[in-house]
Amino acid sequence: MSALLRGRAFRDVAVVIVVVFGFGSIAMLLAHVSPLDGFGALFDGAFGTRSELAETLVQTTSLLFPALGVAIAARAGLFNIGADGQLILGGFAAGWIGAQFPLPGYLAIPMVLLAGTFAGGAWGAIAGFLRARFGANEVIATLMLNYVAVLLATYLVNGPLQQGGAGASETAGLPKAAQLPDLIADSRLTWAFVIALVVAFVLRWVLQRTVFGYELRAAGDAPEAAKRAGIDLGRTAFVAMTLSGALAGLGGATIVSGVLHRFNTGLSPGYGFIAIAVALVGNLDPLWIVVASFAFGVLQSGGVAMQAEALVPRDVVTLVTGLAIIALAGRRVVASLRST
Amino acid sequence: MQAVDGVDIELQSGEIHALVGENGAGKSTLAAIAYGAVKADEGSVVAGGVVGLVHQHFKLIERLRVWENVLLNREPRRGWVIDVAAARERVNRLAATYGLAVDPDAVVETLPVGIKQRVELLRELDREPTVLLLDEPTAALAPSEIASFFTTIGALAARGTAILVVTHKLAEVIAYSQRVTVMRAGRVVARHVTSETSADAIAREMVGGEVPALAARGSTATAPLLEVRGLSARSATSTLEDATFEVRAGEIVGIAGIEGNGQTALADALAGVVPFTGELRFEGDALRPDDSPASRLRRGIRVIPQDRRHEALVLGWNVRDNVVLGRQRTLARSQYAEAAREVIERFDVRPPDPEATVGALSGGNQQKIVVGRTLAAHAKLVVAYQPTRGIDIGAAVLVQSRLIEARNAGVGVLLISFELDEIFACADRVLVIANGRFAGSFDRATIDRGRIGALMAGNV
Amino acid sequence: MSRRRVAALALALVWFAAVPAGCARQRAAGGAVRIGMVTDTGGLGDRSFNDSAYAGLMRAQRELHVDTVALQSRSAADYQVNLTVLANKEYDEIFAIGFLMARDVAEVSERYPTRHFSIIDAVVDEPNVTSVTFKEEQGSFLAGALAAMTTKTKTIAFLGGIDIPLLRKFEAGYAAGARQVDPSVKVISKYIGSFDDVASGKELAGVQFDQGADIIYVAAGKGGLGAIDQVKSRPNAYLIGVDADQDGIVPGKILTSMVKRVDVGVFRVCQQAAAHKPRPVHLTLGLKEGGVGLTDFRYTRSVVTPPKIAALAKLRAAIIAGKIVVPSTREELASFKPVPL
Repeated sequence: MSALLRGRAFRDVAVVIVVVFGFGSIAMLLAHVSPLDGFGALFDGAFGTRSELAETLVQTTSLLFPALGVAIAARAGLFNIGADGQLILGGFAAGWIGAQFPLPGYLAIPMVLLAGTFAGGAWGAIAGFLRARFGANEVIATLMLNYVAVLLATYLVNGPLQQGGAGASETAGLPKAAQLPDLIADSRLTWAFVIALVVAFVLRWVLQRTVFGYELRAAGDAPEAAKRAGIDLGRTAFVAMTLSGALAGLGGATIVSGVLHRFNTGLSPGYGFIAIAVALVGNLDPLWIVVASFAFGVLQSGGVAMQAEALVPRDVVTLVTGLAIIALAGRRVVASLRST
Repeated sequence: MQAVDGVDIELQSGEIHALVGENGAGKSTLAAIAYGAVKADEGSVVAGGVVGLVHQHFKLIERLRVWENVLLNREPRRGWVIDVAAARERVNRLAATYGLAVDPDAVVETLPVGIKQRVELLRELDREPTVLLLDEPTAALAPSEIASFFTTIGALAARGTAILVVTHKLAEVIAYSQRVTVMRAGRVVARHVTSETSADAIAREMVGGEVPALAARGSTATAPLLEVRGLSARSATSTLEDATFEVRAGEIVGIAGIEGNGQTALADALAGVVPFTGELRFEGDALRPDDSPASRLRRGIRVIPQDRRHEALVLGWNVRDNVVLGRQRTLARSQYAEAAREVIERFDVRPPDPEATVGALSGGNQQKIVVGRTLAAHAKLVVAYQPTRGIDIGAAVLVQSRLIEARNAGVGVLLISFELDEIFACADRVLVIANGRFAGSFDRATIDRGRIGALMAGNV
Repeated sequence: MSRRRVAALALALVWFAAVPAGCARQRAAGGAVRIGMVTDTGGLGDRSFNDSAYAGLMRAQRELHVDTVALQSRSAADYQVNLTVLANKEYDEIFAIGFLMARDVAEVSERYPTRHFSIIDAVVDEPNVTSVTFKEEQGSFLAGALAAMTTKTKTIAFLGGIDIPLLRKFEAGYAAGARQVDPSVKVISKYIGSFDDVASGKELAGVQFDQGADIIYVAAGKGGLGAIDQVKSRPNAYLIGVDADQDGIVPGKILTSMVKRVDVGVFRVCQQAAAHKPRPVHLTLGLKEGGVGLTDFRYTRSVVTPPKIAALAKLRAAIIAGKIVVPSTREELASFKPVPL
């Protein structure tokens, strides 16, 4: 399956650019806005000032973690569409533990990030276990677990683990010690961005240079051959899904520790879903995914500015993102039909 | 990459024309160009009528029924609906006309390879082609099926169809074709009227020199290795019942049989891919039904699977990473390059590039990689299932020689093959399998071709 | 590259070259006052707070000729992003709709001391922030008075979302209004514990009806939908809606709605901004300012008779005149005595 999801990175990028600018222009014209003004406002809003660039990198970071998670599952031949739920539960664990157990700084941040990683990993592991043990379809399992994750976090935060009050579904605020330090002063960009880059490089190294990565890729690219080469497909599926969830969960933890400074049930505008597109555009290669995350980060943060400046409804961004995914998926399907 | 270069071939209506050549000589590419599936950079194909092509790798839709595959896009309709009764009738008529019996309602994925090929052939025949291209048509057929297949083809030719058979089996070329074209490295190197040449001469032209001889069989001191008692196993489309035999270190045991008679279940049970009942002892230790494939590999039991493209190789990967597959836990990363070089050299993999993508290599070179890495892994028992399937003489002789050399060095080899010539050339002992049961056993000295053929066909 | 692809590429280039010329910007020429608004996650189309605020903004655009934009928030993470973008883009007035954004407004307003912000329904203590709040207790007082006049069972109920000070203003005003009309009417209070638990809303409304109440004042966000579900199956029982005009949801079963005129608050701030005048630090809207009030009973005239309407008008005048001081906490409610008029 992962062969199906991977294509030629360069051509995919070209397709995405054509779709984004082509259909984006059409949508803007329908909204009676000149595409030059619209895209001008978009790029100005994404890069125009230091703080705008910082915000773009915040969005990049928030997409990069779940996209890496989606990618590692896909490289093992598994489609994790539950990254959003894993991210939310990771954020919840980070927010709750961070507010509940104040620790000195050098311990607080690692603890908060680890809590998110473990919670997201555990959530991914459920789907991995069901797949490994019963052969359950991970697409359906992860999709359903998204809903369970949101409802579980909402219940916990409003019920037994309530800390907040004031009517919002959120935990108490994190102490300063548990907040990731800023990378650029007076912005929301924190060291989470650096962590994300490091994770991407490490992941690439793991996939390309370690026995684990080798076996994972073999299981994804040619499961029957991998099985006969002594690779335990069930175990690989379990580990890949756990790792996938852990990355998304870490992403949730960085949003809580770096951006919101508390957990709120609405912390994700669907990062885990956009991440699927990011992973596909990034050709499931961690380094390309860094590039793709940045491109989508530009769309995310520039989209708001575009609405504020050129009065183009921000939904245009959602629209072209969706169309880009469809175009890529279509290319993959056509390619797979040709190859058989 | 240039696969064919300035090739001229002229087919005449009513003839069976053989196209032979080494792996990667460009035969399949040429056939694809003639069919129109691949665009030629230069030159043209002129055909008076419909061109049909039967692929070496079948292009059937596995989930659909036979009639649906045969009549795809040409279904008889009644208004908006398909007339199923008429379709069934048409397939039955077609099958009867050409002597290719099939069940029109069978789902293709449940059929053995030989029958799938009939379906593939019927699909092309339904289009009433004036030119029919057959790419390695007998690769999956039993000896008796081969004869009847060519009877069918001959009848087709007699009606005026021009037939091009792409093959590596020279005995069939001599026996059934009227003319033969020999290709090497993308060019035509010889053209003959078949009756004016010989298999040896064609083989020399294909290889571009003398055909390498099979490795000599050394005398070996054999020792007990694998003991099998009452083995029963079942894999997707194959069932084996109550098999009892042994394989000793330093001998090649050949399993002769027609495809679909339990060979897959046997290979899969030994690979640890399917569970079994009965008793399996390896070097005196019992093998358990729930052992993982990894534990079999650790013991030194290595299987060369039948379907190299799906069961053995990662087609999107390069040669080096494929050579490592199965030894990824025992080789250090720094040894990968050396392991790849070793296989490329010993097995003459072309191109000799460890970075080449395996999916782009010819079938023979792919198989060399699979066999090469298996023998390089210090195996004690090698189960070789159709190790020369669909590959040409040069590669086949190489693979067989390496198996014999492994035997000489004390490895036990279980050679499962549908090609009797291969078994007779290599095996120390021959076991016949039919209908999932073992039907007879012969020592090399006492081999009786006729008797074995009868047993294979299920006649006791 | 095939010929078809070249053609497609050429077409695309022509498109990009030709398109911008034929298309004008929508915004009025430079110099106009720019006013932006950030919705909460309810978004436009919520038929409540956000829509009401947007109506105020649109009115400002029409009558004050200001440029406006409304940014919608898809998640809590968007609040700061949206507020920051508007601040970056030099909007003259930036509205945050809803108390969920209080903390974000506090942070962003500190980072952009030269911009001005307004927040609805919460108090943010920054010099460049206007906190727009409502005297919900005054409107609730009228709702309680009407309920006490209308009940047949001498029992009415209040169903709140979460037990927080904001909601206690509703509760206290409602109970005081009932006491003003008829001290013998019993008021039962319950809180769901959430603003989006429809199932519990339905269940608790059922309990209150079973306890004899025939009118429930529901201030429970989405949880109120559960109560609406419940009242459909109860003859001779009514609800009183809150925030927006909810009378039409089940015509005849919603006695009235205690509306908070967010649009009024937004428009009043816009007036100041359009005139380049300083905005108040705190804008509190009650009956007098038209910031709260009851609807026009258009579906329930058979129950809300002219004498009752006249009595309500009298009470309203007394509150505006300061003759009645409506309690806004439970403590004040405890000491509230009906005022003779």
